[in-house]
Amino acid sequence: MFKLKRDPADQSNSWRTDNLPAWGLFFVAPWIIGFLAFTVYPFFASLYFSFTNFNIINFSPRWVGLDNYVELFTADPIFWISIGNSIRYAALLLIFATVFDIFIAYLLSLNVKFLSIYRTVFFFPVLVPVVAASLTWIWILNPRFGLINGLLDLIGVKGPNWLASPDTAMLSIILIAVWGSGRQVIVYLSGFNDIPRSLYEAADIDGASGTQKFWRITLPLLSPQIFFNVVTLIIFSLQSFSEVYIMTGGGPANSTLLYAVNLYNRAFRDFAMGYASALAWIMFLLILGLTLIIFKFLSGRVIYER
Amino acid sequence: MNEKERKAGNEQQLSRRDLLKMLGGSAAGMSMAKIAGLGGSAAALLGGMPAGAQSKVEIWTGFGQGRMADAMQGAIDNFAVENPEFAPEHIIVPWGEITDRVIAATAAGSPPDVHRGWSGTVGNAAIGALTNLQPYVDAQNVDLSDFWPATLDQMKFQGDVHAMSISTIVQFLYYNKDRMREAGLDPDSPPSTIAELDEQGAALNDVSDDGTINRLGFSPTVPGLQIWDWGAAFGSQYWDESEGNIAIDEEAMIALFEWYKSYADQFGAENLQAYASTYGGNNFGRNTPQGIYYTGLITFWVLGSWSYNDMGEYGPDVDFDVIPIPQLASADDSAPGTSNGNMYLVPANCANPDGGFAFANFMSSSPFVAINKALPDSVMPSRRSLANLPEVDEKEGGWTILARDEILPNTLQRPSFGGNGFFGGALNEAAENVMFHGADPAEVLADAVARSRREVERLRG
Repeated sequence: MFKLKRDPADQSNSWRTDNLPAWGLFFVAPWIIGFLAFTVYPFFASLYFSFTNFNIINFSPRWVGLDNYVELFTADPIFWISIGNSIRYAALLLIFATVFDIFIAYLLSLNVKFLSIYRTVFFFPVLVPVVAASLTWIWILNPRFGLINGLLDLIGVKGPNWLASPDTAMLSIILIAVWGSGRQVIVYLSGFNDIPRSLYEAADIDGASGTQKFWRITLPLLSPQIFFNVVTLIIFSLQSFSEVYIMTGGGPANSTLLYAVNLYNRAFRDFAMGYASALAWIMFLLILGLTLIIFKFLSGRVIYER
Repeated sequence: MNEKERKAGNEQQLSRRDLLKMLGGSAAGMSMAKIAGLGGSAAALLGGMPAGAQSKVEIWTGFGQGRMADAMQGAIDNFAVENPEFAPEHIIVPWGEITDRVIAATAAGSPPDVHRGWSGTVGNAAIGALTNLQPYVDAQNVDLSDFWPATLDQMKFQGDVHAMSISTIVQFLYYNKDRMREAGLDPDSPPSTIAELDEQGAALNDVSDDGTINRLGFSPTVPGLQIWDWGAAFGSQYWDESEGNIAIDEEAMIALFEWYKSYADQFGAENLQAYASTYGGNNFGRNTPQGIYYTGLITFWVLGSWSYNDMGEYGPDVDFDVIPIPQLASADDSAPGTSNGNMYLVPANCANPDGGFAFANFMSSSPFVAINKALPDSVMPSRRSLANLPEVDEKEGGWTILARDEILPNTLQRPSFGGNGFFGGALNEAAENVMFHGADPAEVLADAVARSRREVERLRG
């Protein structure tokens, strides 16, 4: 075994057991190796592959320069459909989820009976495996025998075809994503709880209305949480895959073909790994660009409590 | 501390060099273990088995439970008896994952020696995922003319055999005689042309005023578009052998897409999709007595012969029969759909390709397998010699004779090619655009074909 006691006389070029950085490095080496092998290497390898014609079996990528990118932008209508769908999905999800989550978080911040139960209920969807949730939603949204259309039928309304219609399929998957946004609710809830009560008391003394208090106190002091959730939600929504792949496969008529689903099809249905790598890099740059834009225009408006 | 003690201490301390040695040694050890593979005979040696006695043949299929699993095990046992030099090991992989897992294992250098796949899987030869079996076929003088022509086409990639087919699925038009009687139709005169199918189907629809479909006589979109089959029935080809790329009969495919659109216009594309999604779970309830086929919710439908067995199992009281797919009377090159070979394939760079081919060849040539595996699954043996066994003629229902004598010799020959999946997806997208958005069939077809041809060329490198 290694020596555990420090030897002050030892001046040799060795790592002693009390040299914590060395031992620290040793113990985190598995993670570092994993990070290098499974994150850093694929990251840069995919950039190289995006300039090649490469399939998963023959490890002999052929350099094609910008051909993949040129084809994407000039000769692949599915690329434009998927990017349009993803942007629409992200934008609508951002709006719906932000409004819904803030509202729910506000309700959950009130001091009412059974509060812990309500909070648990709204966080439950986060804990449900994606596959199970997706299959359940397929049945809930079933046009004929689904729960939602069944309830609508009780009040004499013919429900829409939900996932079966190009007009409502996108809205359906957005609603499902909003249902599963419990994490954002938790973040907003923490924000609500951080707002000092004294500000509301002072506003009450000044005769401020509920609306005024919301716009002048709550929303500004909630801006750090909104900023964080907007950034993470955009990243999450542009990468959404599993639930859409399970529920619609991108249909009907490509109406829910999100970018990640298209990327998956190109990589693992068509084995066009070079092309799929180009798709992945465009998505990376799009997310990076959007994030930088958000930081540039929103970060200055965020009010941090001092 | 004296010099001696210090040296002893140093020996026990972890120097940078020691650390690098440890990491490097571990990596080298792992690499060597990887290169060695530790498969096949090495594994046998490690297991205490005498070298050279037997070599392991790793077989991946999805036959994990029920009658099909028992039949598969029976086939493997027979293979082991007839080929004592091989030790088969059956590994069950979910059907939905088998192709992806084989590709991943092949990329990682540790594929099975043989696996079950389909005609579409042969196209994976385009990315170098399969072992070329032509040298084995030549060395063992396998009589390729014994296979059904369409099946043989699918076994080949660029002229060389890359798969051995155990059985072939043909497409039938199934029809529910009880429902036909209810509507006053003669169940002994099922539709033999597209026009008759349209007419008889229309007499059997039950649609609410709000467009909700309660029962369907027929729609070419349910259970699926089945473009390959209907396209063949309308007289289209999909491949130009001389050019080595995708080619369709535009006139035939435009006619097909307009036919789809006529149903979308009649019912509403969304209502058809809603009907399909309502009853679409688990392949339209294929494995449950509540399935669409067993409860009279559809009268005419096209499915593979494999469904014949399901009908007997889940709808024993349904009075039904099968006929070849009706064809477009005006089409010159019309065919009764396509057929699809069930294949055994040997992945590239597997540990034991000899064993893999031996098993694949056994499965395609064994009378035991034909009688106990293929026929009970209601699929035809891919070799004509096996399709002429007395047991085939004796099979209840007469579907075997229909498949053997009328359909299999005439189905469209559709060779295997890389980009098959892309082409199928592009055709489906095009048809949906016509049905949902009223797109111009000629335009979307031209786009789908152009993109698919590029894909074929890309895969060709």
